Amino acid sequence: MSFCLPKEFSEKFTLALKRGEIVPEKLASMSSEERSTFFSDIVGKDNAFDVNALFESKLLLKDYKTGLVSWAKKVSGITETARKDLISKIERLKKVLSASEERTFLADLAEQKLGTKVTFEEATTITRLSSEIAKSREAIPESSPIRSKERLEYGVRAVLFKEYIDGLKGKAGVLGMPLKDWIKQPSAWFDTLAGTTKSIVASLDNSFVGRQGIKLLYTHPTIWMRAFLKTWSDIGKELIGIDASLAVKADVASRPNALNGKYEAGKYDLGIKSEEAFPTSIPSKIPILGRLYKASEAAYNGAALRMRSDYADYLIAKAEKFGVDTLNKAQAEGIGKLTNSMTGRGSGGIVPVTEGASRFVNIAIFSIKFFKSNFDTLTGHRLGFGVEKGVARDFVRKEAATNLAKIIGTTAIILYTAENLWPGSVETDPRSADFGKIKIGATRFDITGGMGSLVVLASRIVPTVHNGKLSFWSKSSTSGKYTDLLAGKYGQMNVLDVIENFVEGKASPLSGILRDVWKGEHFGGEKVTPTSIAQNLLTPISIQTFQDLQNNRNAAPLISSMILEGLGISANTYSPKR
Amino acid sequence: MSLYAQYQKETKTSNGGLYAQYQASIAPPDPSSFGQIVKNTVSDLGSFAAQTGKDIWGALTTKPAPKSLDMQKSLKVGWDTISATVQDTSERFQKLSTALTTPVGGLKKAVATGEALMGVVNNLFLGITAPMKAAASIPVVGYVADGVNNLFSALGVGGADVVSKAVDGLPMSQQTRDTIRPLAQEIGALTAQIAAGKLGNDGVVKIKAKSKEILDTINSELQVAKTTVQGRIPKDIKVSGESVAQPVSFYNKYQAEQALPIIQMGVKPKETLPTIQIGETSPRVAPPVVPESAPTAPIAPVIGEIAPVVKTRATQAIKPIEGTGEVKTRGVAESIEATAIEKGIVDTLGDLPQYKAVNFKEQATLVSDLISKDPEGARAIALGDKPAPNGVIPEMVAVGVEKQAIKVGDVQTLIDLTNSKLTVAGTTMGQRIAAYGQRDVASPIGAIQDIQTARAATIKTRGVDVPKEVVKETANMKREVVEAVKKSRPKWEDFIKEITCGY
Repeated sequence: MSFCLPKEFSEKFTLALKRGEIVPEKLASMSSEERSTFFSDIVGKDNAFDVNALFESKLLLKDYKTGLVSWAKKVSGITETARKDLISKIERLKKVLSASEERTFLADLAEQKLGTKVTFEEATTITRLSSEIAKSREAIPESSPIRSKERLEYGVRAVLFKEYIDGLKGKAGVLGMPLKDWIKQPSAWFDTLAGTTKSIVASLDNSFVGRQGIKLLYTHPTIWMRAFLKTWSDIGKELIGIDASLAVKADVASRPNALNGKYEAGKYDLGIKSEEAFPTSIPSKIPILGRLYKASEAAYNGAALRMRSDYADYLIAKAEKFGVDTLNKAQAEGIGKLTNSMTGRGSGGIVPVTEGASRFVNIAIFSIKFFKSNFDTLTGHRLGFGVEKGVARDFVRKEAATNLAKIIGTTAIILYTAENLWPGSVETDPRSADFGKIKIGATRFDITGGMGSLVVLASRIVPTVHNGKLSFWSKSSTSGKYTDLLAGKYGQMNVLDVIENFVEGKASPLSGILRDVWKGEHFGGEKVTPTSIAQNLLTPISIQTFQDLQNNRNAAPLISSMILEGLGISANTYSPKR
Repeated sequence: MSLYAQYQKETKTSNGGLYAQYQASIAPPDPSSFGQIVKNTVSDLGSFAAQTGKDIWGALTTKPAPKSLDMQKSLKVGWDTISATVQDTSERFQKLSTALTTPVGGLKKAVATGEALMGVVNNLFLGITAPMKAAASIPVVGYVADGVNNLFSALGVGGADVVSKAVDGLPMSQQTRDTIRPLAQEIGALTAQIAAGKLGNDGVVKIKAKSKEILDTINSELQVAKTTVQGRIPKDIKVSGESVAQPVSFYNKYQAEQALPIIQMGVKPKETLPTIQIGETSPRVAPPVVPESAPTAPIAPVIGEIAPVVKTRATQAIKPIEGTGEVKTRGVAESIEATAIEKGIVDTLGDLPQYKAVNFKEQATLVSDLISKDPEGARAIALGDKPAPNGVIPEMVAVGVEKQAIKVGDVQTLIDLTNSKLTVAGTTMGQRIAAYGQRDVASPIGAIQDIQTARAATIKTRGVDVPKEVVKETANMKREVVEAVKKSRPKWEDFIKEITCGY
């Protein structure tokens, strides 16, 4: 030690201490400069700096740490690991902090105590995992094909890292949050109930390929076929207990367009946890049936991700040739919207973006994004106005128009063929609910993936001519009779009822029950009972279809109808009310 | 077996099997299985252990370097250490690379990983041993340097016992040795675990922290040594080449552009006293020029330009001389780490026409230069505590520092970066966001921020007002500190006695 305090000053210091002129607590709350100034009155200017430096390192820092450690030992409601982490952070202090440093440091400790801060241990693990991901990413040769060993090695790590992070966020698990938090949040109960019933109703089939994915079948059959075939292996894997979704996610996460940021720039829905039809995985916990549920969930999510990523890659390449900068967010988002819409995930407009609105819509509506995707496809993304002006809009307009033409053309060919095979099976008037469907007996097969119903709605809510009269017309799918929606007869349907019925038809299982209770009957006139409520909430659509087919003598052949229903070609069976 | 291989072979595991394995891999090792792992590792580690023993013996029996005042010789010794360590590290990494790409057993891979990490550890010690080797040939201080050098050489090869002996060999007070011993033993144990492939980057981080503590302690002792010899060191130390006006002596080429931690020789800074600059990279160093007055052959760094710098205060004003030969653009530190940072940034820019990739590439170069030249300064810029130099986007520095921290496993820096003013502000700044766009998807800072935001939101849903609670807890902490200060009142008089002259 090079510094020593002359005896005279030392005595002066001791005296000041005894007289109470030096109050330790007050010194502790001073800044370093203030202390030096204070000491200079007692030990002289020449010695004040050194005395203060020694005071800080030999006394104050130790006391400071002791005080904080004592606080850390007293705090309640934290785990022992968290407490150790707090103490370790305190022990790492190497110097007396300045006022601003202290504020930050203490706030950090407080936040750590509250549980918002990531612990050092967690941060260490995150860093290590992140480093491993970086290394595996560097190991991918530029020319490496998609789904190569190196890419999947990276992809698996990236996906699992995301899951680990979700776990630390408290968003992992079937409830999407820790049970203790879930119990305390009644609003979360509704979310869970709505999500669970929706998931159950949507399960036990491989419906994505014939419903949300049908647009790609009509426009890009090669992309569709690959995904379609893969759904069977996904189902098989899940049935024997293998996680099929990890491989799909790893594939997507490791593609060149994921690594170069193009997916992110275009907001392609490729990093999502699950599709809207499967908002929760709670049903997967049901013994035996849970595995069937998992199989259909994996097939659904897998098909969505495969089709979306393949189509995204296809479109990105095509758009770049067209002159679109697919890394420029403003331009890329248009391509992303087109991709998402073609695979059942519309965005913007009526699709809510805020958390509160999403929660409400999740409870109230079955699949708002799917509905929006159909709307966008049919309107060519509002003739391109739904996309940022510029070269991207031109590209999207062109692509959307081509897609629409292909969809209409293919649907027309199928309907024409059906009409020739089963005369009278096809309805050509879009004002009838049977438009776009093939009617075999009392069963209607929707080959438009839900787009037909939008055309029907539009045809009914715009003035059209029937028998030379211009009005709003609706044609009954059972009796074939036309109704003048403006006739104003007692009890008859009007235009508003048409819209109302359409919206009601989109209700989620939970809000559908509310609708039926208020109406006093289910669709088809069945009386509302506790059993019927439970059935509607917990019966998958495929089982409901099976029951309808069995209960109706005029229904289409059971097995073929069920196969089509299982593949997403909705089979609705109903007859005129007696 | 790689994750991919597991994924391919996985046919009968339960749902999420791979995930479970992955989770297991990130969990702390099971102590009960540790013994078995050690047992299985013994045979593979046999040759490694033999070599280690040889190294340890060598470290302990190394004769003290002859003392002289020839700074050029000192520098050469320092440079040789750096060169050897870097080459050693490179070989170790090559081994690791081969092991990871060739289908070998997990055990051999672990050994290779351990060896590579040992290279990292040795690089870590490099910043200590190289200047110490340089200082070893200086009178008095050199004896301390010898001891420190032996200690860190022993630490570099691992083993708590060896380290303990090395500590005993330090020409320092018993008190200092006692302070250092547990720290050194801990490093020794950690190093041994790293060598066995049982510890990863977190081990390196711990070693770094412990090494710092040791150096701090040694530095205090060094001050005492300096005080002792103060009167014996001539005020004007003759350093070869220094007296020559033109050309400037060769070592000025290695002069740091900005001040770095300096071991000051002498109680008070003396204008002419030599100082030892801890590991510095000369930015763009001219090719070796033979100084007219240099008594020894020019020392041309082959790999790069990192070198311990011995300089006098008087030489600080002298600018590095311009060379005429081929300009070397990278130092050793740059070639090992900074280049990787640059690569990390540039790789993602290959096809980013709208971001003007060329500019970002330039930025990446500037950032890597900055980080290798002035890591602390770069850290301060990344934390928003210091403005970036002209022409450098601060967010690029932040991304570079983040990448560097990930590379070396510097968790504390990553945690600090999550609270950086720059990081927070960066999310709202138009063009600068582009720089953050270069951050990896698996950015630990992004992840930590996301987690903290999510947790804060969750806590809020429980009805806890986080800012209010923070204020409350801060007040509690301050109260405890005041209590602790009050309790320590009796120590005050002892403190004054201790610092009184003649005590």
